Amino acid sequence: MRYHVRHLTQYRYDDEVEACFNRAYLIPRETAGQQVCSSSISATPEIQHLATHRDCFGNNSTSIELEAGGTQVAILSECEVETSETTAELPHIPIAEVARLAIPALNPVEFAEFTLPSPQIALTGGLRAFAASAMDEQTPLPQALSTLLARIKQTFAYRRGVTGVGTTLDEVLSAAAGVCQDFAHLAVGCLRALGLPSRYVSGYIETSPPPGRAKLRGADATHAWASVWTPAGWVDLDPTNEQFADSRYITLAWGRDFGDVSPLRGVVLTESSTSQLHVEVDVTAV
Amino acid sequence: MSLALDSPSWLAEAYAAHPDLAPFDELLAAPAMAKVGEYLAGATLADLRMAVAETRNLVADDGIVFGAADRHQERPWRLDPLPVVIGDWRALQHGLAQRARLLQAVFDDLYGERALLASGAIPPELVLGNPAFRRFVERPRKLLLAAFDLGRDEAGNWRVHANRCETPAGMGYAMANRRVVSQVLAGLHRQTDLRRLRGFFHTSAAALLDSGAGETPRVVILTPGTHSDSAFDQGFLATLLGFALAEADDLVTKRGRVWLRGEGRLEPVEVVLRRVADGLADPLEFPDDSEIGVPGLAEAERTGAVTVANPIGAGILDSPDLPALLPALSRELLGEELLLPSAAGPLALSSVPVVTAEGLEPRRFLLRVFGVATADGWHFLPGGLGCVAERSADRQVTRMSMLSKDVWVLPDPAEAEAEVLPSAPRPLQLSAAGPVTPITPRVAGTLMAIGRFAERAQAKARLIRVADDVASDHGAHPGTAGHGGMLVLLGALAALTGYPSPGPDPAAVTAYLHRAALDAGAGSMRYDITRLLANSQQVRDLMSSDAWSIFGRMQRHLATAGPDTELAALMEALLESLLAWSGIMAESMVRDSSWAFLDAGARLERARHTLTLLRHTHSAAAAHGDAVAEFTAERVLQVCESIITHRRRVIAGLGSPLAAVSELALLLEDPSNPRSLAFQLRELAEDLDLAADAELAGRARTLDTARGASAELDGWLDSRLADLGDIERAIGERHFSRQSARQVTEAR
Repeated sequence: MRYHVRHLTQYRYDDEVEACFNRAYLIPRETAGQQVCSSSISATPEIQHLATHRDCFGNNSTSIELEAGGTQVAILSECEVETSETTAELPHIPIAEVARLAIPALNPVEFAEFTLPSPQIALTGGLRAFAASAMDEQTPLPQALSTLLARIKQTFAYRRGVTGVGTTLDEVLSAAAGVCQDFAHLAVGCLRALGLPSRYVSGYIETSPPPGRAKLRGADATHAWASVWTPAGWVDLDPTNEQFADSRYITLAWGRDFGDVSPLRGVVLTESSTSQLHVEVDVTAV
Repeated sequence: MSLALDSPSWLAEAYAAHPDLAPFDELLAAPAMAKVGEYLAGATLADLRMAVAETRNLVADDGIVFGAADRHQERPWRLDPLPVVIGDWRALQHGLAQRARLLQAVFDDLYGERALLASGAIPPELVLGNPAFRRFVERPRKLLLAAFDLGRDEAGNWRVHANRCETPAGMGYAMANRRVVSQVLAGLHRQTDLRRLRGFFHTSAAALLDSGAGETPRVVILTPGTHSDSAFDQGFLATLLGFALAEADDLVTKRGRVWLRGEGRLEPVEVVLRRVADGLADPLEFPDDSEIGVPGLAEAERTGAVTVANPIGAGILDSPDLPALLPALSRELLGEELLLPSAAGPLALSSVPVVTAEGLEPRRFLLRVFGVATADGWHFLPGGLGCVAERSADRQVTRMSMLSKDVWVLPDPAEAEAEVLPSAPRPLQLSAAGPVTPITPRVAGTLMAIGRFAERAQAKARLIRVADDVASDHGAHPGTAGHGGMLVLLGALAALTGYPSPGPDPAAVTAYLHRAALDAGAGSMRYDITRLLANSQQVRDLMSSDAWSIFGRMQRHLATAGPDTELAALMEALLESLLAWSGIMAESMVRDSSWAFLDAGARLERARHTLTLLRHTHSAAAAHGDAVAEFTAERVLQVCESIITHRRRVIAGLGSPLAAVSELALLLEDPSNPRSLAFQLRELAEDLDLAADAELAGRARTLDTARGASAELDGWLDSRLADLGDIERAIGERHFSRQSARQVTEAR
């Protein structure tokens, strides 16, 4: 599939913006199933300085500095990507076996990065208990993954506003609710708890409007899911929608957790006492 | 070997028999301590106590403090007068330099290839699972500084207790200790051929300049300021290195580079010597709520637009997991055996003698050493910051700030020649080579506050002195002109301090004057002096070192003052110090914008003080009749140092013989009287010209100082006070503007 993505992030303040510095993970990376045809970032006020480099996970990390002035910051990222279905035949072997195979298969640095706990994915007793409710070391891989997806879907309600950037996994577990980033963290945590290298993926998904209704402009959102190493390669699974990722998924970046690949983090210098955030995402098939 | 044991002195003998001696005691076992042993053999307890007292005084005179000022934890630095002398420096230095080289090699790998992780030479989880590992950059960066905490094991071998590479702290304290101890034990210091510390700071300054891009790189020292426990260390280091001290507000990143804000322009910064921890250095890269980092600094470092010393991420080298791996890493990376290993478990630590009220007692000793990387290798400060445990029974040194020691290093005859060449300062036009550093808005504001508080303290001291004099002469005689004048003067003091006037009871008046002078609250003279000191600490690098001994004297006067203190004598002493301070500033500061803001603060304050004094005395006294008016006006002239001028003019037949008439002419309009409003405005205008603000200078010049005969005095004085307030506000808006508050934004 070929998609055009328009992703607008807007902050409104009640006072002048004196300076604005940003770290963005908004330029999609190339993957086995994804080719990036074009990408661009523009902003209001004007961009004063922009530099993109490849970070330690191979993502496009962009530093964006904006001119001073105005009471609004708007950063618009647009890209066009070509995605393809990558089907992996999951071997019917127990999880413990997958974990063993991962060690020689991966570079030790990569293995450690994606099996160790990370700042936002602490492997707590609560998380381990939840993981154990879905699978154990002897569970065959395909069954383990689908049970994990199902368990998350059954246990957690999708609700905005319950969790935020600083919410811990234990808090998500006790709230039994959250959004896609929380569910991705949960899935990654459960997989790591069983010794499987697993990473957090940030990106977009093409959504369909409710039957009989036209798709609304800006109605899509950023999305997040998990990716796990298997003998058949890295497999992406989406606990929010209880499915494996397919060609409707557009990958921006991956890391240990949200903190490594937050789509847009900024420091704004302003005397404003309020800030209003507005995000619009449109994923359009072209 | 142990001279102290052979000595007849009971001090040394009692020390040698102390139950808390470590297996290795520096005094008893280290030959290098022989000279100190000799000194102790001939010293009495009284001598040692005197040395302690003198040390305390000199610490106060140099303004050496520890503790975060913004949390009111600031206290005098603690230093024991007896130095620790180290003789086995040469071997130690080789070991230190090797360790620094090794850490550089490890650092390059961790933030580069990560081959050591891939091979398992360093288990990956020790680094990747450590929050001190900062993933924002992958390129080799130079460690410019290193610090290590050393202690001896039971056999007396030096071992590394901890690496301190993230933000090596304490060099300034080490130098400050040396300056104090070399004065307290001047005889011992003169007789001992010991290595000097100065050269190391020259070498460090040169190394930092060399690390920056361009012909004349600008180096700044990024300090957390009053948030930091060791703000003194940073300020003094800035003085020693000759670089400007900068807080986060002084720096800004723009177009991917780091700049110093100042005097309406931005000046590029090539090197940042930071005393802000890794995780606080850049709120964009490492989320935190503090305001002590610079957004964009990490990106500028990543691209190489700025050199950060030490590089952000160096904290990983201080990880307690690393030391056990260093012997193997040394073989692998350097092909050398590790000369100076880390302690495997808790170190036994050596003991050193510390002077107490009873005599000498042994305390466990930790030594922090400092190194700098130069083109020809690592150089270490021949000395260091010695730290001892809180009590003799303590087996570990838990805090570096409890009680410190000066550390002397004896020259190594074998190395004497070799040493001269590399660590001798390179032809130093350091300050000449470095670009001119603008005065940043924060520093400008601080300088103006210093000028203002110094003048305010002086003005209050004069008024309190005169009021005290009047009260003791006339306080007991209600109904006299003197008594009436006293009440008027107390009313003016109330207006200036904010403490409501006490009424006529003589005991209440005395208590009131004490309060106005010595109360801890805002409004008192003590408060003004406290603010003067606190603000001076923040711009330590711009102050003449002589200023600190004056501040030390003032603090001693204030510390010993109580309800029974004779106010007249105290005011006299404090005024003397304040005048000496003004003199030093006037004679030592270059007439650039730093002087301009300092002086502008003083001029504005003096003008305001004179206007306020007249506003609350002239009409109030006149209402009580001519006698009170005349008495009060004479005292006001006295407060404003203009009474002699008045009398001389009367004798010469110039001006009115009435003080109540003359005070207005002398204190408002007379351009030749250095206490008049006209004089202050003229000087203020010159200050503003110096600060390149012609517009405000023009406003100051055109302010009205001549009151028309018809104008009602109090209303006129009020409008002039309002004018001064306007100018001061305008100066603040135009020259002291801080950066806006930071908001971290993040969408999911």
